[in-house]
Amino acid sequence: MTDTEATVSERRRISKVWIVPIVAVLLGAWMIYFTFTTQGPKITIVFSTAEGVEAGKTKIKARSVEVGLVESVALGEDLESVEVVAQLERFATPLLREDTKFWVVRPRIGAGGVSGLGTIVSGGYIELAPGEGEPGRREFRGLEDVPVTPVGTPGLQFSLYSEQAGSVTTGDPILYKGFEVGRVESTDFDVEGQHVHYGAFIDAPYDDLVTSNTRFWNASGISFSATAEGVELKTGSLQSMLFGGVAFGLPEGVGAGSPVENGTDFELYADYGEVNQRPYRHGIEYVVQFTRSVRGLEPGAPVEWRGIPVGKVERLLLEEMVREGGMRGEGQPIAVLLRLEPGRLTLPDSEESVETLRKTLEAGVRNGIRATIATGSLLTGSRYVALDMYRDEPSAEIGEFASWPTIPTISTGLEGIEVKVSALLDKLNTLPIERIVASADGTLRELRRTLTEVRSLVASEGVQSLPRDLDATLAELERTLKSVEELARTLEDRPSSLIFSSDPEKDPEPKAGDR
Amino acid sequence: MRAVPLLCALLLVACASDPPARTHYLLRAELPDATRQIEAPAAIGLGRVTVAPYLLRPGLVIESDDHQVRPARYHVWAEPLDEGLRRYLRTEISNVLGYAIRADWSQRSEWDYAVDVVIDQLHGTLSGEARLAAGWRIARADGREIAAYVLSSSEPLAVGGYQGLVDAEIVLLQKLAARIAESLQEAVATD
Repeated sequence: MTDTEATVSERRRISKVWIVPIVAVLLGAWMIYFTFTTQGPKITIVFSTAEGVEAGKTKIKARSVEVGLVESVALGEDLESVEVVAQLERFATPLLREDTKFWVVRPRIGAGGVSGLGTIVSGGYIELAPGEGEPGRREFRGLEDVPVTPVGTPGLQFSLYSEQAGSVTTGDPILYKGFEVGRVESTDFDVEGQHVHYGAFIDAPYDDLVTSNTRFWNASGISFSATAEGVELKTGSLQSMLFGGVAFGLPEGVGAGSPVENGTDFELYADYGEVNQRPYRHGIEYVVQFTRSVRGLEPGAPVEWRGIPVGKVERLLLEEMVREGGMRGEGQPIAVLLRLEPGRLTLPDSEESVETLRKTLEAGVRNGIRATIATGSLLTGSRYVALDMYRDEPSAEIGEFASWPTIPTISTGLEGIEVKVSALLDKLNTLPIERIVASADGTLRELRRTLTEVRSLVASEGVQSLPRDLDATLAELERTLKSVEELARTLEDRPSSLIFSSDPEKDPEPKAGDR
Repeated sequence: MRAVPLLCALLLVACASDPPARTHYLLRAELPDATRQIEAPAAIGLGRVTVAPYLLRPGLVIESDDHQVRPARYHVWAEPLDEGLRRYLRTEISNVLGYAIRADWSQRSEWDYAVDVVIDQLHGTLSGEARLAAGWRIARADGREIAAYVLSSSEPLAVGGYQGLVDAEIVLLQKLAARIAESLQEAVATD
């Protein structure tokens, strides 16, 4: 092989055909990029029913602006709910927060009015109410009812609970002195607590009116009461009369209290009268057991500490007595349930005060605090429970009865006196008063007649002359005594003079005087 | 033996002698003349008349020179002296006043004025003098005293003997009644 011999090789070239796929790939990549950069998040909303929701048709709206579309509707795994998957626009991503709410907008007629009429023509849609919590949530529980208060409205969100549903429903107004300041947002029943639970909201700035001492009561209907002072008729607004409502305020004689946080629970009282019967929210229950009669000790009777009301009697625990001790015929003490409320002692109406009271009583019982039954009124026979310190009593501890703590009781000397007085009164009752009075009346008549006779006797001439006759008699007696005295003296001087008279001595004769 | 008591009795009778006869004296005032009676300005009554104890004996009392007193044995008042004095004074005072004063104790509450009299002395002396010492007190119906007076006086016996003494004592008592009546008129007029 020589140096001038050329090497011939075949030149390799890329075919222009490849341009098409490359462009396609680039276009695809761009489309993918565009899709990821413009498409919003996909969310899942769980409803109890898919009524009015259709895949590919039902839109997601926020403040009437379309922000997404329902992609699919499927039954949940538990077959008792519906999972709605929706695709949202990218700009809607910040709206998805921890407390974002979703509900289906469709025609509704309720106490608060008629809503969703527009959807009759346009069809239903899912409303998105933006929240204010942490962002990033993608799965939500849809509301079955339209929230009464727009999310984000300034005010106070809290809960009410009561044992009876009454006439309060979602949308009912919350009134302060007859002025609507909020509304009931939701209603449900707490199975565990066995009471009705209401979500409620009060708009700012009226939320400052709600404090720890605020009480809520059912303002529905008409309150009618007849007392010795007259007839009292109370009504709420026309709306609350017709559709129900809740009012709030402070119990009589109770201070404003401290501000409350969102989510606070309040009891819903049946009416304002019940509020004043139980003006304090926080209290502690104790049981006292008495071996003597509890006659006159009614539920609601006061419990006093040295004359200061600190609570009231809740009820007699007769069922618990039977359950705990059975009917043994051994004269079991009567158990009485008391409720002591620290608010009555001007302490804050709070759980902290209840704890303070509990500790104080625990120490007090060790030092001699005992409970007794006292009589409030001898006329009516009403009784109350009195707490006092008996330092001579041996130290004792808080006991327990049917899971309630117990305060030891004592029989005071006063009770003994009461028993004696009661026995005396019983004896007096058995006395034949009418017969005695009739007899006394007869005796008085007889006495009056006798006095009349005595008066006439005294006024008679014979009796009137008695002092004079007596005086004359006494004078005569005095003279006689002097004669006897003279005779005695004569006999003493001359004993024989009784038999032998002496020579009669003539009286000395006074002579005539000189003129 | 039965004759012994009889003999003793005869001896006793033989030893006895006749005592002098007793003379009784009475304080007697002139009865008021009914035609001269005037209407009483007030109901006046004679209250208590108290006599000194030494006078509460029947006999008239004689004071001897040596300040001894002796009641007479045979010259006695015919009635208790306090009673006699009371009646005498009432009559004499009524005579002086011209109207009768009252003396009924049972109606004392109806009197407007009452006068109580105390006789401290009313006796004679052997030297022939009758002595009177008395006091009286005028009081309203309610017992409040208005005035009080005393009188001490003597009167010589016109004749000796007990009759003369009684006459002199009557003169003294008339003087006392006049003074009492005078003081009563004054008390009623000024009260």
